[in-house]
Amino acid sequence: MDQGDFTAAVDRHYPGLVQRLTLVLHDSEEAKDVAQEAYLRAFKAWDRFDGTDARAWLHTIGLRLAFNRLRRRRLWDRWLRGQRSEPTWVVPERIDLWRSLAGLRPQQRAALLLNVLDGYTQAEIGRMLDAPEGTVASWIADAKRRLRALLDEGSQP
Amino acid sequence: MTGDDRLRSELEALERAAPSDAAPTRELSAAGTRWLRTALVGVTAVSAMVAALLLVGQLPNRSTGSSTPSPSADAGVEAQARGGDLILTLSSPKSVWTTEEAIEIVATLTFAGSGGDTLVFFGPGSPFVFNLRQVSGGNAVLDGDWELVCRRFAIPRDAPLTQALSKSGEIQELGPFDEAFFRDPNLYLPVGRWQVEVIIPVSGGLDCGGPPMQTAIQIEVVEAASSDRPAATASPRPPAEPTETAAPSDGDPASVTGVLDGDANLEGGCVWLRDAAGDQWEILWPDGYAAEFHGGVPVIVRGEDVVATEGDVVTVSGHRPPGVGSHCMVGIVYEATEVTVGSGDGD
Repeated sequence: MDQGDFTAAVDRHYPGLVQRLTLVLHDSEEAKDVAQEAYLRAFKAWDRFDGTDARAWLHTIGLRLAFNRLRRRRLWDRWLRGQRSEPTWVVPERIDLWRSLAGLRPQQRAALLLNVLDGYTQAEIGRMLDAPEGTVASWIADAKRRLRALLDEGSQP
Repeated sequence: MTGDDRLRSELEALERAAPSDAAPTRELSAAGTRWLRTALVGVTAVSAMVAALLLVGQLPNRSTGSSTPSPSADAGVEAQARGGDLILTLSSPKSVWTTEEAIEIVATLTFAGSGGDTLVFFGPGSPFVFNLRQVSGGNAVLDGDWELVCRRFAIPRDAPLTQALSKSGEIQELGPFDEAFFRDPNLYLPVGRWQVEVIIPVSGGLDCGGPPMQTAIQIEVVEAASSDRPAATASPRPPAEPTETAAPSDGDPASVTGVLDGDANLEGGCVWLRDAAGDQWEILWPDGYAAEFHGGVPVIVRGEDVVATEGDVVTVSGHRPPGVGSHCMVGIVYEATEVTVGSGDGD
């Protein structure tokens, strides 16, 4: 497979990867960096891709890179005591959802999105995130419970 | 609309609204891939962060200048590469190390020009990227990672930059360069011949697009003659886990008892148990349980009920799961199957 095959299979998933990583990393600029890194790593490993699901493959690479990035960010956050401001692209009616996502652990955020938005099973997510299936189940259940409570609260008159 | 449907709808809307790029901004090339790499700075590089140097470059045409490895069994090994007015040196005081010795490798970047300062381009972190390749005795590879940020930095002629090897790269949870490897402040390697490379994506121009410099040395790691600790074999595991994640004497205990503690500001919140020896354990809670923060205080909930709060003694039984990395990196990962709140003596 050559570069043309790669771009044909992967390019269309790139914008979605950036958006997914924005929710996981909670930083759109960092998400772009990680997505680019994932794209380039995917290109480098293209000959090892089994050809089944380019989107899942790209997302797996991206999410793992994101978790590595977050480990590093923790060190920098401690060092810099930096504060991250809330993004301007989140509309006011969803700012609480954005904040609630921030309250989840990044792997939990990723598991929730892979399950709720993409429909991956807990076993599939476990393989993508290198986590036990039971742990994934616990993450998703906990995240859903918290976010549903938030949405219910928001819909109260 | 059900609760799940609404949650899905809201999350979809949030994700759709997130900014994106239509395509990667970097151009791919079949030969070497024109790419910039992000640095995962190893724990050992934290002190180097204080120096605050990291840089950016391009991977193709890595061999700038000439590398002249000159191994010597007793006098150590050194290699140099020269690019323009810059000299990159990589050295080790010995060419043969044992599995019990912390391997010492130092990189130095010297400005040898005749004018004033020279400029290179760095980001936060370290200017030196180190790769490890096992050339005999195995085929382990660790490619160090680079930072995307490009910042200009000056090296005075009389003040070379020097840095001991710092670990960076992707954690290989099932490979030799696992989390324990990165956590260890020292470099231990298993038996074999190892090529150590240093790369500096340095540029003398006005952007980060200049060709990188690199050089490499090879060292031999041999079995220690006598050992008070297990010799390294398949994994370059250090002789002891670092303090932050010191393993207990029983590496995979049937149960762990500790005081519940946590930090709401780490990674969206991290909760752990601290045992009597001071070790911290990151628990993967069984189904139905979850660690949360209520008003910034770590608690364990089961369903809707808080079953333990900060300071409570909690006992969990289970095992250490293989191949599972800790995201919070504050303790030993332990997958619990049962939870008991109290002294751990029974209930």
